[in-house]
Amino acid sequence: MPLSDEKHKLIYAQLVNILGLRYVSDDPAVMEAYSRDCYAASVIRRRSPEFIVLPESTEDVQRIIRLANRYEFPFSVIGSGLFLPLVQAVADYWCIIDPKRMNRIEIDEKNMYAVIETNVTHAQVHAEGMKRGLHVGTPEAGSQASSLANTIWAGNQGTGYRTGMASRNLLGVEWVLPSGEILRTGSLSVHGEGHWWGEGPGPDLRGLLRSISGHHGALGVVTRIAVKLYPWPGPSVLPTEGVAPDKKCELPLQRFKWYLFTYPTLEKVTEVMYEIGKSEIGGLVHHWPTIYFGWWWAKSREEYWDTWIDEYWQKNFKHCISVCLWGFASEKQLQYEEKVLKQIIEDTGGKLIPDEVCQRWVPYAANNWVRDTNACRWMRFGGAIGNAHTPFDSIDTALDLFPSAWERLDKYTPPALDADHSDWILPFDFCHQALGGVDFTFEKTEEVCKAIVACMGELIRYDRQNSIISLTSSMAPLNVVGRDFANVHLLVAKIKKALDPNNVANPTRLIDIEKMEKANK
Amino acid sequence: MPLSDEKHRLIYDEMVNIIGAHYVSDDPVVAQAYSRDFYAVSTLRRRNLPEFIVLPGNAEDVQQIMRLANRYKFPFSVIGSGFLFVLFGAIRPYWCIIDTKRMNGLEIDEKNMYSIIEPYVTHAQLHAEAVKRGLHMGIPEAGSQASSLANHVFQGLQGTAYRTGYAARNILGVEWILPNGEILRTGSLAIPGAGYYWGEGPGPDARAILRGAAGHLGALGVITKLAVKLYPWPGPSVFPTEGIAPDKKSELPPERFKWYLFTYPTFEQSIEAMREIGKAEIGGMLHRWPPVYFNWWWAKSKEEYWGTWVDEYWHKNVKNCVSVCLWGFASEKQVEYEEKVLKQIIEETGGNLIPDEVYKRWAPYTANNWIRDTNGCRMMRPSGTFSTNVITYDTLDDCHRSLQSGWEVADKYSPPILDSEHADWVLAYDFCHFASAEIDFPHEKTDEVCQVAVDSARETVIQDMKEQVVQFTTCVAPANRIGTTYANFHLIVARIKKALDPNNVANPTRLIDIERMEKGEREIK
Repeated sequence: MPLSDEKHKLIYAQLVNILGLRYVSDDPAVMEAYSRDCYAASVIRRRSPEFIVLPESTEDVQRIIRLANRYEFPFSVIGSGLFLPLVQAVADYWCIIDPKRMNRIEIDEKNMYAVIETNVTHAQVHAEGMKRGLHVGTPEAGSQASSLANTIWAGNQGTGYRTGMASRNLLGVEWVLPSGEILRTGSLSVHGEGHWWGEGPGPDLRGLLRSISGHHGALGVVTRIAVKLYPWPGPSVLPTEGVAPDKKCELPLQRFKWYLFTYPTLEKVTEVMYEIGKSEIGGLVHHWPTIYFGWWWAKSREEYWDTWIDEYWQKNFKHCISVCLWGFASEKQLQYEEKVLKQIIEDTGGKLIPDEVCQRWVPYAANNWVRDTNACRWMRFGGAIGNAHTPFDSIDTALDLFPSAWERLDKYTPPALDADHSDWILPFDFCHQALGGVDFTFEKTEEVCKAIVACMGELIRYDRQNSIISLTSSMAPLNVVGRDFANVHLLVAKIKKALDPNNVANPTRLIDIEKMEKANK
Repeated sequence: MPLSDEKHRLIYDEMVNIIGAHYVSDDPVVAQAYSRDFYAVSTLRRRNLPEFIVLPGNAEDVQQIMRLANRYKFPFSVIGSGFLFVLFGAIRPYWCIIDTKRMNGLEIDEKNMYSIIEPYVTHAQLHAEAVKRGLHMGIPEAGSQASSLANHVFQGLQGTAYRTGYAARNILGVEWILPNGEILRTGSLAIPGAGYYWGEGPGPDARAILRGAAGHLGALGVITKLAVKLYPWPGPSVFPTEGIAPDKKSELPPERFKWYLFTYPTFEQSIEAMREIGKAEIGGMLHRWPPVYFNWWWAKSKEEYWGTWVDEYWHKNVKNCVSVCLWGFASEKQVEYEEKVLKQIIEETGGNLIPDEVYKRWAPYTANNWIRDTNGCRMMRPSGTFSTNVITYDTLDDCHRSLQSGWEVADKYSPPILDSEHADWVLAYDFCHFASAEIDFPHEKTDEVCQVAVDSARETVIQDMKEQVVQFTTCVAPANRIGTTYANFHLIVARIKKALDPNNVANPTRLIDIERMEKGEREIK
């Protein structure tokens, strides 16, 4: 880290000129805090950036990016700090843009959308939305996550069955390109326009920045977005009692009703999910693995492992479908949908989970999938968490891919800790699409993290050999995986070069242009 | 048209080598058929004929034609079922129109609710196959004879949009020949043998380069196959009809589909009622049709149309009318339940059901055209043709402002534009998260009147640019002309265009006129 060289000093001085001394740091102690997170890769590959900058506005971001182009230093941007392996420093003079000060939020109640800056959390949007009879999906990553970042990156949200993959809800975007130009899409390009929509004029450029795992900031920094909100039939404040982890959240029963029921096989579970989707009933539909019940419920590490060893969740919640019925228009809607759901359960041979078991879990954990306060506590039980597969495809495909993911994970268990072949299925858009997730926990030592990274490497190789696209393989640089996926890297390289001629925006992450060109030579 | 020059002959011979003499034509008579449609602009510009019409049989044929276009530097455009010719008709020598008539493959995955279609599959075909499997998709006002693929990437305002959204939202995997001849397959289409088609990844979602309020008009390549989402259909496996168009009746089982039409004293009240319906998330379809639509979709002859119009039958009965079709997706009881919710909304918002006689005169014959339309292609009958001067895509709130401004322009040109009583179609999308507002009017198809209709559209674009309003007519103008008014988006479009189409052969000038833009820049310098 050439902290004391001329170029470093020059960049630092110029950053201070732009933002002021208070919002620029090259202090090694501060840098350390931006060098790792809970993921195995960041533990092994921890590296400190050289600069942290806290812009307050889009214009600040623009000036920083212009400076990066002038002095040719790399930069990346973080949201609330999750998935640091994709944005942490990998080259000298690395600058991390932390948008903490960019936290403004506006809501248009009538037209059902919010305009948010980068550091507005899901919890904030959700809380403000609910006051106005609206809500937004929040992800498994937790409500403390940046709502903007999660809307353009891996938006698998609790209410995905109704509200879809998060990026579908993206409207107008204000976006600083890697060259420092500001691009405003949709109605943002129209001065004084009240409503924010995403398309036009011309091609819909949002598609350059969103997808399964987004562009990791390699195509610029999104500074503001408008996001769709959906009707919320519940109270204006999310009702909670107690303090986490011993927190209870119960929504009015006449408008929200959870049903948890099991089947003998996972195949049967998927068939029933299709049936529920075709009826278009319910506000949330999930198939959670048994490990999730433990993760979301246990108030201590001891409680978690005791319950796990007793196989309490495995015995009671194996092959379980969880549905929350929402009375959007009225209480009677819930009563009607209840009849439809009960008929589906009866017709398909489902068994309701005993009430006393439900009561142990539902009031404490279920509504985290409406506004999550628990996911950020996942890593308590092992020290860290990993994911052995997350394909986004059909429900069918999730079912097909679980066995290979379990087999791979079994090879690394131990040191990966037992997860009872976890098998989360989150349907989107009334079961038009689904995510299949295989999560597990592990200790956060270098040795174990190396094993987990090896497992991830094997997963990417498997995906490439079998042409499967999952969250993990989507995060690999396209110059590495692109030839296995219709040479998408060639198109992305053209776009990257057009937008980022100096290759300063999170270089290597979306696509490693230098390595690609070297290999071509 | 240099039909007999060396370059023309060379291109023709090479095309015959690629797809055979049977599927290539440079016959002026054939070219004539590819020179115009019913729109005013194409009537005026019909003297521009293409030089070649080619009918590729598959994606590889398209690829070879495009590679040839790059080698010999001749322009090309692609058509679906032939609508909006003005956006891809020939404007330069050696112009080649790729007509996708032979590319009509169709597959449906019933379980995962999607279909895979080639460019020449019509909405009617797809809809008919889907309803056999308990599925359906949206169909536009343009009619069911339109290419389903084209309508999904271009201006997808469909009858069921309240539920199924803007058509482009339903695109999954895309097979796409870039202007330089490379084949791009997005989503699971990138995976040989993958059963399920989805659109995103790996890498950025490239579909959005091709879709938008008005798509890319073929200027960023040719889409040869795409997968589209289908939605549950609670109706019969064959669409029920009686009689022959225009005297055709279509009635769906009332226990699963029930139309309600009700009016309000003001435009604003009807919009507020729509908003309430959207928030309750009831209904399968929600529209606010202008009286002129009732007549257009109903009249069986020109005489009947104008007779009823002059009597103001529709004006008196269906002004400020909200139309809702309740669908019993899960059961008959769903219709019963939603009926109660709707009746309560009508009561609370002061709506009045239209008289039964009016309802019976209209609904059984025309309402279900908004599920599968056989009438849109007949809209030009009453006068010879029709035009649209405003289609904004914005909020329900914005509809009145945009319509008001469009009426002012239309009034200035009426006559010769014919009366449409300030048409005000409002189509809600995604449970009223957004809406389109449209003004249509009939006019005669003479050169003189068409010129007036074009002037009216031009004035609308100028007014939009002054007020920074984005709507359909503005969106089809070249980006280099309007981009400076809209955050300079043309600069990024130019970069994409140049990266994908280095020889500027794919429908040059339409999405963006690179040559004119660069000439302008040189002159400024």
